[in-house]
Amino acid sequence: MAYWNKKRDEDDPQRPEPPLNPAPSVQREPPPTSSFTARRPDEMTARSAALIGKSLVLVGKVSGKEDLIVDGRIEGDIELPENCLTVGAAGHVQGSIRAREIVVFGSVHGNLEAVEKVQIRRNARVIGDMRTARPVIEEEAYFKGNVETIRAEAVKVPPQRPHASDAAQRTPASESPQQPTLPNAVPPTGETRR
Amino acid sequence: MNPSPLHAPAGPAAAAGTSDARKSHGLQALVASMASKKHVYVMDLGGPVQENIDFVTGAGHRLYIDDLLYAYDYFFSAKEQAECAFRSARIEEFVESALAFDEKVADCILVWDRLQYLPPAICEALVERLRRILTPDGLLLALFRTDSAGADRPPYSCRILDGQTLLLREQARPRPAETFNPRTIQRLFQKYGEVRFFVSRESLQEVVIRR
Repeated sequence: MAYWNKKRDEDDPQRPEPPLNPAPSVQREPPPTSSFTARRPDEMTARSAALIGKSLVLVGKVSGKEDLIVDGRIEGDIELPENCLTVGAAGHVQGSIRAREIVVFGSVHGNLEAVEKVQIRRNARVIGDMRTARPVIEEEAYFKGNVETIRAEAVKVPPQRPHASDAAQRTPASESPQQPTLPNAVPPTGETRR
Repeated sequence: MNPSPLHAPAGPAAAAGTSDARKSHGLQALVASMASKKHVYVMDLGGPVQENIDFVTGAGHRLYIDDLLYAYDYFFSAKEQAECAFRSARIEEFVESALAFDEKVADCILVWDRLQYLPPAICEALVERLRRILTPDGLLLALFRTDSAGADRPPYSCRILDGQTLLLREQARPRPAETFNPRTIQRLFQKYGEVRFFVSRESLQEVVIRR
């Protein structure tokens, strides 16, 4: 109490009046709610995943061992068997995709194969067959193709490590189990035949 | 056809209208026919619905998804749709692009209410193609609203809640609907082997058609 009395005595008379409803002195941050799947690709940082920017066009096969966000255009197959591929709202992939997890906000014309999950989000457009343990298609998305579920444990992939510094400890791609190929893969034109 | 199918303007209309869960005898008939078979190939032509994906793939069946209305909107120009004048070559081209399947591959086809929102010439061409796609014992489930004469109605988003219950939710965007009654439905499917009608609530006619 002595401290407060002393402070009151030392108050500067020119000090402005406090507001009638003063804001709490401690700024409370909202609880963290974001998760990888809930975040929009443009909010993701380059540290968490490699990024193909909006103005970039890649022609040819893309493969690797890190997460990838495609906001540009890729004409060719993508192979990230241990990682997550996100096709951003402005992204466009013309080719087959094989990854641990695939999230599509933009458009894909080709087959999708993911050991864990494929998410086709609202307003996305996908023409091609899907093969995954967990297919998720939001209602306002457009999807044309076959959906086939697989058992995740049947084609297990080593757990993904989050940072590039761990890359040296990763299992080489040659040691990861081979994914079965789609038996009814659609041709690149999007025609679907059984 | 539009130059690039990957740059169509917008996705299917949002499901935003009223919704209603109901017992479906048509769905029950389909599920019963699927239960006796393994590795059934199901075609859902009402667009992607998560409940339907879970139901069909959860039972171990294969599923094909497309939305006939979206395919129609995408394929035909606004002028063609407004004039409702479709050359037969264009109709054939559309049917080939929308249903590019071999004959007798689908065990079960869910067209829901989509046929009602397509022009008669296109509807008839699709029905004939669907007949070819069905296996000899294959079944097709269609819904028709018999109270939609001359009115624009929003199509349903049809969700399979379980083997006998459907949740019908009206989509946001109304479309002109063709008028159907049991006689015109029978005529539409006259090349099929059997047409069974199940009257549902609110003038909704469920029809199960066997190839």
